[in-house]
Amino acid sequence: MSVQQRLLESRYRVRNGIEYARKHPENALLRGVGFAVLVSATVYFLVPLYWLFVAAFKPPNTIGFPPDIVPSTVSATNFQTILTQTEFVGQYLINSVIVAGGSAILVLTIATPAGYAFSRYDIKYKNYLMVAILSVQMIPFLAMIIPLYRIFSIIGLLDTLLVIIIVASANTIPVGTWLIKGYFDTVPDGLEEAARVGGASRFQAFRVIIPLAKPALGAVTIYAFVGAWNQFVIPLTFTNSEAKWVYPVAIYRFISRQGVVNWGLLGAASLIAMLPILVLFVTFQKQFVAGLTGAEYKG
Amino acid sequence: MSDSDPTYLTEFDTGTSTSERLTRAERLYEAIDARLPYLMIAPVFAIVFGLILYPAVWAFKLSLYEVKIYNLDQQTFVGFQNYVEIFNNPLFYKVMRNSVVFVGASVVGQVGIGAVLAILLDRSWLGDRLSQFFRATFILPWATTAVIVGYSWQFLLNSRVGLVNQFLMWLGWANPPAWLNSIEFAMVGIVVMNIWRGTPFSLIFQTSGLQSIQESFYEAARVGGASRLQTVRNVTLPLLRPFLLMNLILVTLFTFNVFGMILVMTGGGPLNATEVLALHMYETAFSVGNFGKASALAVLLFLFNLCTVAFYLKAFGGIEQAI
Repeated sequence: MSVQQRLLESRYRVRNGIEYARKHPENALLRGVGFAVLVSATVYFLVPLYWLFVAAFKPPNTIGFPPDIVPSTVSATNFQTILTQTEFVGQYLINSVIVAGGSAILVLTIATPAGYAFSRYDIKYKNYLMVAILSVQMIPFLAMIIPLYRIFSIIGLLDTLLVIIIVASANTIPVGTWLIKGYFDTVPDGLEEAARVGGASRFQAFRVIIPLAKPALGAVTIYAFVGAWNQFVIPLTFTNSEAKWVYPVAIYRFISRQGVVNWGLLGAASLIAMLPILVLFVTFQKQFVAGLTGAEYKG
Repeated sequence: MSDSDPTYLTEFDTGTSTSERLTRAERLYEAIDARLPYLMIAPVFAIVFGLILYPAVWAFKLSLYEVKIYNLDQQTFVGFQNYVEIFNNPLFYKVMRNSVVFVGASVVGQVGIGAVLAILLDRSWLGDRLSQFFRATFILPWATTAVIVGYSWQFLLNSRVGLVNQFLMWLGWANPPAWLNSIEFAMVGIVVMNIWRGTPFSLIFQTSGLQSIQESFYEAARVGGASRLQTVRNVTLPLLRPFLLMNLILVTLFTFNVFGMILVMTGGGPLNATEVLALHMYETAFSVGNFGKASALAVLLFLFNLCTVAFYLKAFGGIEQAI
């Protein structure tokens, strides 16, 4: 687009905008209200995290009454305490990474082909099968805990990280399959058709199309990773020995053992737990939303 | 290049040798390829069956037995005794009332606030940067671990060191309630916490719904001279309906299961004021150690889920609305 064209275009837009605003004065008010709502929501969503953040950076024994809303002194002592108690942090964080990463890989390998098959092929009773996958979500996941406890104790998998990976994945695979199916629905199938006409097998055609689904695969990866990273009840119930605790369980046991909550330590421990997820979200936010919505392929 | 061009075909072949062994492998490969769609969906059903359906049926069976955690092998068939005991216990009715309040308020809050925020962030009237900032902020609670959510709200609502009461006193309320220690206000606390945690999911879900609406509908509304509010009412909301239905169903199912955060925040107290069905079930299983009765509670929980979903589907006019 040339400069003149761009100028013309923007002048046209401004003129249109003014005309529109004159016709609908209530829209200006609406914008104001909308913005106010967004700002209040930001306060609501950020304040609990802010309070944790502040606690983490307050020197020990300065959290009292009345609380300072902005800390007068800042120290990293809490982080130091947490990080030097290596038995607390190191192993548990590694366990959490193993669980979350393992679950993400498992969900991706199972949900991707299934989502693709549901999107591309004629499968008998396809709609019923799709609904069946999602309606198992109706079964309270707590109902499964006791039988699963029994099953895993029989096959001797209790108190292992593998159990957490498997159960966490079972919880995210149904929605993951739906997401990937929905995304493939929006991807034109010209490329595979070309491959098929060229004599490729179905499997080869599938491999050709995979890179096009990257946003959806990314979104499902994040969904599965976060789902497993945030697991609390499953690891709390299915693991016992300290070497197998994941990070949230460690925080819980650590704090309930102490009796009185040390808010500063808790804040520091929490921020450490949130860091990987935060980095993940901030880096992939755009792809995440696009992957969930199929936005890239919408005309 | 024609289809019969041998050099072209080899590119996709697994092997070019004509030996017996390889041909058999090729035949196998082809046979697998023909059934590929079913092979691709099989693992999902294996997982759904093995890790969800089969245990669920087992849970139903367990609910008819007396099973204690310390002796899993000794199971005595007791028929509907567990259910009778549950219905004869006044605590169950309190727990049910708590659950209805907790789930109802949470669902309304999460879906409502989620929809409002999604609509406000749609069609980026704020500009890309600002809406991205808001979206990133609003996703944060969802990325926070249940334990941390529970503790951070306990901290926030703490009557001595909490920010909320400090703020209320600064506003001039001399004696704000000790939220989590008060029978009347503890439920308010966990509802506000749960809305905080769950709204991002609704926001993402509704956003995906909004983005599936074709731009042309909005253009038509604009050309027709509709104001923004009219556009929302006549274009956005009707087209968002199927997503709202799906969102309602999922959030309700999630919320019925929430208890980790409540366990951390109030432990169900004070005086069972925040004891919801899921927490009650978990405690019956793993604190009291009565697996049979806990399974019966799980079956009841499932029935409530089923009824709620059926109610939504009826209200929205059928499952076709959701697919």
